[in-house]
Amino acid sequence: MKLSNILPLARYTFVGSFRSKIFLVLILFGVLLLLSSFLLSILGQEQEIRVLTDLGLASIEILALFTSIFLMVNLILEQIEQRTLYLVLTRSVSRAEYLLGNYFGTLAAIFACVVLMTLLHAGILLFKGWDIRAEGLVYFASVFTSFEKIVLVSALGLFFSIFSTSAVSALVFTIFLWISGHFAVELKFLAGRLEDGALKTLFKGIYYLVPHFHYLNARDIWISYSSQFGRMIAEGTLYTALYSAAALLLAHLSFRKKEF
Amino acid sequence: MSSVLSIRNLTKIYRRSHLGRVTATMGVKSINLEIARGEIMGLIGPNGAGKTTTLKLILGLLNPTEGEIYLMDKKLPDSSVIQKVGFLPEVPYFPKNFSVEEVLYFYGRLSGIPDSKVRARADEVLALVRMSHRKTRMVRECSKGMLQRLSLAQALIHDPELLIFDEPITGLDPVGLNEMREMIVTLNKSGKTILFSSHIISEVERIAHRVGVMEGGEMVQTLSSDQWKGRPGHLEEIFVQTIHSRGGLAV
Repeated sequence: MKLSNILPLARYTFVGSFRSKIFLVLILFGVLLLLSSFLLSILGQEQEIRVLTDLGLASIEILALFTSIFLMVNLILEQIEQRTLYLVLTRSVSRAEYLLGNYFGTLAAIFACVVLMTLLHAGILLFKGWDIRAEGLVYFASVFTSFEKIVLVSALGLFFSIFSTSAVSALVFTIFLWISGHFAVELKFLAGRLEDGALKTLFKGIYYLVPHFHYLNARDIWISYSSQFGRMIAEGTLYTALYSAAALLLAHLSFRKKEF
Repeated sequence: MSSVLSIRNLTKIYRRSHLGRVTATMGVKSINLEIARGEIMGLIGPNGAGKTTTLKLILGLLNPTEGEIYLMDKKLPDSSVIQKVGFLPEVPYFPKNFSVEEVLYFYGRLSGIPDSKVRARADEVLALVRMSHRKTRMVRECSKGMLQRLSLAQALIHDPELLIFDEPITGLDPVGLNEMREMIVTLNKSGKTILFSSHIISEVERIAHRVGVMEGGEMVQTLSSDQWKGRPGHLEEIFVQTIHSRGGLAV
């Protein structure tokens, strides 16, 4: 695996994403969403900053997640359809390098988008008198874990787009796992309540399969385990890395023998 | 002359599965071909004869069902040796949101040219394909002719030894056709080995040293230029006779 192949691919994907109209429209939409949360926060009166923080963080996460799912699902499929991958794969670029370059390039574009929206949001919060010293750590940890969710969901989106070879089915599978991932704890609880048998095994299996997003909710972790905050965020990061690596490995296994 | 490309018993069967039912279609069957260094080899045949399949198998875009391909004595797939191949696809495919020079930098970097040298090399190939004055133009603003030149430039950026052109002259106007013909001959004179596919036999006859006639996925005949040189239209006659004798091209 050569970094000298992955980097130009990532850079090219990054620039290409930023120049695509869809991406720019999504950024504009994100900015509008943040500005509207600014207006909505007025309804919160004495809880204004709390409402503004929650709405803003949710907006950043949801918008970036949908952007990443949309971009990732279409990324390789579009290149197959437009045949632009011919000129890459007929060079000494391995299929793994090709996937990783595209994956990291798209992630970098989404990361830049998240940073832009976070700066805008934090600026609005500061303007409203937000105490960055008291709440800054949890706020930026929340943005960080939101990006971890994006890293993980993007890897799933990439895998499904290659495995299913249809953007619609890839989109459905990815969104299904994303939603299921928010109910991982409930799945475990259900499995625990069931008597031994096929159903229990099925629920347990699904529990291990879906992404465990409860590891990546910084605000909940802070509220419940503030003394172990750093360790739990680190564990969440490790989980993200392992889960994403597994999804990318599956994507590679589907892609390596693909014919064009 | 040493062999640049050696194809041995190459077979490709496309297998498609739908609702549990597998259908098999023959792509190419038992192809054997040797291409010597410095040669211009043309593949001719009707549509669906297996020309593009053969090229895609060499380039690693398809996996052979049987047989072997050796490029400069190394068995493919081999990432180190594929670096010595330049590919010009039938239709130029480039992302629309990049300029001509950006596209070349990208392919140059992917071909292992260091960042410090890629710009100079891009300028060289742009001059070669007469696109220097268009280097800042966006791909989406390029005409078909410009895209064809850009496609040629990306195939040449890493100075490959073997050039593989898929239908390089299809759809070109007479001026473009003339330029492409001259370019192929010039590249060959500078030492490049060229393998190309086409169904425009009158053009193949003018530039190829050897020709492989394909039909129904098989290489039915290999001809050298001695067999048609000095007799304009003779290659076409041989081609039509060959195909008719196999029951192809029925009208």
